[in-house]
Amino acid sequence: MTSLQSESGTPVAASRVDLSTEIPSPGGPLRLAHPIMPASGTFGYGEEFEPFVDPAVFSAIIGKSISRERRTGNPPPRTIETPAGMLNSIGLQNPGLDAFVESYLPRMAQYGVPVIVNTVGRTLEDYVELTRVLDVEPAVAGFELNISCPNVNEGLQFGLDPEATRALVAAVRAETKLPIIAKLTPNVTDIGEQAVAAEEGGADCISVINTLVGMSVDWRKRGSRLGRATGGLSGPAIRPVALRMVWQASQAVSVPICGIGGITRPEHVLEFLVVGASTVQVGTHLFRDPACLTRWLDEIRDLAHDEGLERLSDLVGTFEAAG
Amino acid sequence: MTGRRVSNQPRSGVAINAPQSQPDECQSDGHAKNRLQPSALYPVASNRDLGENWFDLVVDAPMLARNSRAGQFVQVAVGEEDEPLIRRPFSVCDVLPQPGPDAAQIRILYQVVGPGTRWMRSLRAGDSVDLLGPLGNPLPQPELPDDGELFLVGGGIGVAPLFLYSRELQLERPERKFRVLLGARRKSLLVGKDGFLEHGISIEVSTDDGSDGHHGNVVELLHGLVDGRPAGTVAGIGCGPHGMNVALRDFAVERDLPFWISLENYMPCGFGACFGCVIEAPAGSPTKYRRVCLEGPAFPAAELPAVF
Repeated sequence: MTSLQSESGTPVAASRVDLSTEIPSPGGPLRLAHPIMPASGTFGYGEEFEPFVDPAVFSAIIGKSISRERRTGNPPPRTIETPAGMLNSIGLQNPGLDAFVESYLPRMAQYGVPVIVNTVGRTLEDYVELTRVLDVEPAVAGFELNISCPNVNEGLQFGLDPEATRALVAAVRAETKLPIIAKLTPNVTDIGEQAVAAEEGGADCISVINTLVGMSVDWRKRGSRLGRATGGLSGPAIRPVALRMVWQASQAVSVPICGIGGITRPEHVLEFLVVGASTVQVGTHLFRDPACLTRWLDEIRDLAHDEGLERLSDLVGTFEAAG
Repeated sequence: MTGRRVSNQPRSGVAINAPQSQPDECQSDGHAKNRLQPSALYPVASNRDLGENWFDLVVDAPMLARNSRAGQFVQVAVGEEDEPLIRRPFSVCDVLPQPGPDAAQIRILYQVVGPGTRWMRSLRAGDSVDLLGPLGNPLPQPELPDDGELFLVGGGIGVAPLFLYSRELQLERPERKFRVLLGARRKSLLVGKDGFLEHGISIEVSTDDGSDGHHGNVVELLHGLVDGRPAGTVAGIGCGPHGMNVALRDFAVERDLPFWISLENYMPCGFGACFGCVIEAPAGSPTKYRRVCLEGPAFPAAELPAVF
């Protein structure tokens, strides 16, 4: 490991590399100790990870999507492994807003890191009501709007239409000063257009990407290996697409980007920062290695230190396009 | 050993999906919170070829061995880095030298069927393997009258959890009368039979082709042994391929016998986070679906949905 010299001439230890970042919002910035959060839908509500790791190892936590009403989810089979990834068709199974506030949120708040609630609705009014109820909960530090789930027949529709995205985010903005992260779908032609719409609506951050719509077909059965025809593809297979979309989105908007898609190593976090993300989410990899973050933060500090960085945020958006 | 009642609540308490599916007489040495290990690398002690593409993997893992109960499973990280991506679940088949505080190794039986298990086949003594566990709930220990008998019904690879269960019964409840029924397509696929015999455990077998034991399937074998017995004197645990599980469920439900059936659904995480391995919950449950990994993997036969 190279030994760096600070301006005063004393060596800077890797442990001093500053990993912190923040998501600005009208109510003030949400300060994060480092850029890494769990991706909604892969983290349960945190408690499932307690046996392996302190959920507070993440800089903020994001549970499964919450809708106003309880949802039973899709019929099984709900998951199938694919090359370098998996398809899921969970269908937003969740206990609903009331049970979430009563039973889940207090537990999530105990971990001592900000709780960002991922919300999903069938109508604009659903998102507004979810925000109105959750905004007054002291344990809620921010919102991630799921306008991109491919496994239900609604929600995604907002994310496919820039006008609907803009109107939805604006309506939610009117209900809260807390950070609003708009989670976009990759299943669009122009991710930049969607990102701009979310920014214009008042989003404080754009998270990209949700899963890519895919299929796994059993030809003898003439049908799907999932309970539904299609599912959402996640895992390392989608990382190249995610990097491209983060890069494109970051060029289109000035709000920070949260990069999601196939992160399985500390180096991948740095790749997302280079193409313009200031925060990231780790998802499917948590199934394989739920405690990965207990090692990654030190490894990222070492990597940044070796590169001569005192602040990890100095990497953000440093991608240099060839030609 | 007296045990705590198995709770079907998630380990850490928040009731997501908590039907009280296991009746009060069902007891087990419960699996306390915070006894899980983060995934860790363990040295392979041996990886023996049993023929017919079956292998017997023994791993030096004292903490896992001491904390594992029959019915629980470990998730094996197969391959290098992240390909294949998803861990493979395997029942803990045995802990060595024996269950209890001296346990130092766990045994996994596996059949080579795809890229993950092909990778496992390549493991040699001294290699490392990344295990996560023990996961899931221990198998219940149904209460029976003194003259009652417990039937452990295994099909193919489903023998794995029943072997450790038998060992635990021998050590902890020597008064409990039980017998093992094991079925397979043919004699060479009756993996584990010798292991039971070595430990003096009564076993009867069936083969589809009649090459050993009863000529037919294992549920038919069970039928012949159970029918005519007084009500309340028979209980059982089953684990096998899907077809056997369905037949066993139907058999037990028709006769109102308390049988538990251990399932092996595809489970990306194995610890309740992904909601990917669900089966339909009984009518009246708080949620429509429940997780095989966290609420199971064994469920009372009467609670299994029509399609599972």
